[in-house]
Amino acid sequence: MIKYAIVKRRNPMDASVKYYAARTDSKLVPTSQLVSRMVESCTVTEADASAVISAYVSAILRHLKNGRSCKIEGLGIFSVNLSSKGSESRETFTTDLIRGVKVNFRPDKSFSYRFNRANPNVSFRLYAPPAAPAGGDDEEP
Amino acid sequence: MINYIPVKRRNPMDASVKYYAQNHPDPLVTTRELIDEIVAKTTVTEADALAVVSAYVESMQSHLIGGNSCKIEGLGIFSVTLVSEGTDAPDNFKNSMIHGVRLRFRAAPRLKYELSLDNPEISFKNLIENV
Repeated sequence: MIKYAIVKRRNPMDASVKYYAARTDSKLVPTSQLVSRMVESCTVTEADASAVISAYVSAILRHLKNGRSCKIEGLGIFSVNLSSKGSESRETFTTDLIRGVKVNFRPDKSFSYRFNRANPNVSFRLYAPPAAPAGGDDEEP
Repeated sequence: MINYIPVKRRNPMDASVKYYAQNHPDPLVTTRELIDEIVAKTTVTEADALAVVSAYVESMQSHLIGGNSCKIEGLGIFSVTLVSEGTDAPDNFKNSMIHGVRLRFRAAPRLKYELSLDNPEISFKNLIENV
């Protein structure tokens, strides 16, 4: 169940105003909570689970630092790209022109179904209507 | 060390051509390889490491479908946004106007630092120079 509010958005092209759904009232689940919840459902100890997750993150960071992409099964692919100033020719390009490294995330294909309306586990509920009395559309039609 | 090659790019405004760095990576690192590395470095067995990672991802997926955000310490925050049609008045908005959900990722400060030029471990190698 994803709670949403209706928000006003202006079209930058013609300044017309329309109302759209925006996710609201969500909480941030920290790593520690995910780990302790997970330990309940498998035979691994909490210490081992924490060690695995932090080793996993370190391994990903190390590969990204070497420019390689990393895949987390079921979540997505992390990759890096470079931003640089331009040089007039290929031969005159030097490493000094590189200004930074950016990380990109591409969601796993499984999310296109997981987050699809066809998935019965995905539903939406209006959280805080902008007008005073609540509207009638609580559940999926 | 990040390998790159200078690639030609055209400025769409005045059609001038310049060369820019583009990452030229080795193949993608799979979940499997990451697991093998963890097993080599920790005392955890391969079966346990696999179980932990897949249970972690599953748990994240169920939180995300519930509309919550999830944090992986040191990596970043995953959150969802909604894609919907627009209506002229807020009262006309219906649940069915929501087309779908998008998964977003925001990098954590540690990840940003690790990949910044301030990090002495970051270096670059021009693959063309060595041909």
